[in-house]
Amino acid sequence: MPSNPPRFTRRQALGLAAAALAGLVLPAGATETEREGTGQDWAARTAPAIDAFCDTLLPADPPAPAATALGVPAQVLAIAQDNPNLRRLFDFSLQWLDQSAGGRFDEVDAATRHGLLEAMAALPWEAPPRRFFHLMRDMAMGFYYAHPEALGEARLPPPQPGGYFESLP
Amino acid sequence: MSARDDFDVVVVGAGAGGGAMAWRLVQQGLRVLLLDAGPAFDPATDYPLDRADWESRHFPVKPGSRGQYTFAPMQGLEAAHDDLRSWNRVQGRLNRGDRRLPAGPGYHHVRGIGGSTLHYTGEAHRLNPRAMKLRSEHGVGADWPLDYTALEPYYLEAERLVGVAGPDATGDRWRSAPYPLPAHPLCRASQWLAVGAGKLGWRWEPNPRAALSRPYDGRPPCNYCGQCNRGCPRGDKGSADVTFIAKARASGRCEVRPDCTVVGLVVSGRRRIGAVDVVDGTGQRRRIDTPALVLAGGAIETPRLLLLHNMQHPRQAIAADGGQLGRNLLESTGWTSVGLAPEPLASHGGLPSDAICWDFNRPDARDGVVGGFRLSAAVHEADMTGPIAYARRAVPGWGKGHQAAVRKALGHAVAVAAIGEYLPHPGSFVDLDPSARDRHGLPLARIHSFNDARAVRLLAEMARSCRLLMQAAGVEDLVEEYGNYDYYSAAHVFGTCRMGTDPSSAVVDADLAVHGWENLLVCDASVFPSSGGGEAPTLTLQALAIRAADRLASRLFGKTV
Repeated sequence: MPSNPPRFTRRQALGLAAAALAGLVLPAGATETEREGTGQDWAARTAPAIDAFCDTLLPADPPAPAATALGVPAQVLAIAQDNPNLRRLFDFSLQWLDQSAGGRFDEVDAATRHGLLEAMAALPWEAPPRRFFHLMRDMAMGFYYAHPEALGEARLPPPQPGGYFESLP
Repeated sequence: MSARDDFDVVVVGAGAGGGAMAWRLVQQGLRVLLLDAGPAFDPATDYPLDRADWESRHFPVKPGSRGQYTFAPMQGLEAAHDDLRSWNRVQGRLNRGDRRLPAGPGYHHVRGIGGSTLHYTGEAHRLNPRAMKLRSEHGVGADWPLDYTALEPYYLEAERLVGVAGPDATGDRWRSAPYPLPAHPLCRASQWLAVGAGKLGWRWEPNPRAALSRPYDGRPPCNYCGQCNRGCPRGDKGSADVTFIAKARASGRCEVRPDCTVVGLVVSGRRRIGAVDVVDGTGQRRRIDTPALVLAGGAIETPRLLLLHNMQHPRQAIAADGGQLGRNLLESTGWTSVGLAPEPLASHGGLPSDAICWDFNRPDARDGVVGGFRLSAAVHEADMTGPIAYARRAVPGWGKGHQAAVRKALGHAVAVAAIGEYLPHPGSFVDLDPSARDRHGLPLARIHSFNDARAVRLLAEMARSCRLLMQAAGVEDLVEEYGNYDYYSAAHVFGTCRMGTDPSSAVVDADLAVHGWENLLVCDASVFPSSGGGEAPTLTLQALAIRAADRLASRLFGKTV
């Protein structure tokens, strides 16, 4: 994880989370989140699945690194771990992935993970896993592309101090 | 506790109007106290566009830099207008409900020293003279109580102070002198759109901009980083803090106090303001006496402050005679189409909104609907400049193919925005929320907004024109469109303290004085009787402010202009 993580960030990510949760109804008793320790405990337990999810969205594509190499999953979990509603959405959706995979999502191969994400993205908008997919995609892309390394050789210098005179004819 | 600070005028609100008012008053030799509920911003540290993660950082939100307000439930959406709903290629429809919603905060503004000019694009428009006579010439809305000729010298003054860069062509807006600076060159993306406009026979010309095209008045020229809306760290954008307010301060006769919230108006004698009650940044409440008061908090907060006063002091009610206070809320009707050009255009850079088309700006430009609009280049205002935006909004999918597509698409984005006239409607107004309160226990403003059939017709014309221009320019690959049909999203709001000659239909007169209240002025966009056909209001507000400052200095303090 880089020493100076970007600040995509908490405010923006929370905004995305609020939008994802708006109007969403999770089935009663759908998850067991509340019995299980602190947010940090939850994040540690959930990390393998979120690592796999983020690297499916954003795999290593040399010279661009994978999402995990840029610390993206940790930033996603840091947002979710303090929010009980988000934790429930994550748990419910990760259970959906495990059930669909017929085992642990983080233990199936990359092609299977890709197919599972396709199935998740095709669910009706009202389905919690569909909301989870879009929230994860938005947050992961936001955190990932905040790193200039994500663009590999296509990286741009920041807008200042040089400006972008190449935009003029 | 009451304090005699020995000011001639207290100005509440340090944005475009309050800043220009303060500057002109100190030019007249008066002593001014400029208050704002928001903080001060430091361009060097608050706008870090030199950081690798610049795209993650939008204009900063600091404690107190956003006002609080609520929205009344908005109207339902109709299937007949589905082609006016906002969408992008990644998410599909953005508002999946059946009701219009605020987009994010809805009312996009900044509280602080410089106000919303801190995050504005910096278009420096004069109002089309034909948009000032909607009632007499088109039978809708309201006329302005003064005409373009009365404002022209003050436009010129504001343009000189800010350092506006504009074209030679004047169109409907005659000028008594050229712009102080030459127009900026059009960026490659705007030139791409110019080809399309040429095919349609539309004039696509440099947009007058409050951004320096040459060194001017000790400020450096723009270097085309494209991020005016994230705050300008160089000071080439003519936001009020680095122009009017900086000069007012330099006079030694203007004191600027951020983080000071006005919580009450004190009436002294018959129809005369004597003081304001203020809570400062430490929470201390004090009363500041003043011979004259200028309210410049914007079209939401200014009527709120007056409505609060009237609720608390009904026998000393202000601007209550005509029943217009808070009514006639005008917003800016907008539509934006974003697409990817087939060639790389380095469209992450360039001057935002550097090109404009005024062809449809007159109120009668389109048959069957009163109200003009303008078209302009909008890729920066659409915030389609960095890889986060491309990845999240423009390029669908994920995985390696997605990463490659994002890299390939960068710099290809082009966008056209239309902004148009919004007419008064009984369903659009500001009142006090019956339950939501601020930290001082005072009711918040509540925004009511309604798009009537005319507004939807105009929006449809605007969307059609944006799509036509994109198509003519060869941008077939649209990736996102959004507008005011399914979202309330307004940076420009007007009309809630309407200016007019008749106290029964207006709150302030042409000198911005509240009818019947000699020493109380309103100096923000709430005084606009009409919104114009898409013109950015800042320059007009500054011209009004300078004129009103001269009138106030003459009337109350015997100063000669």
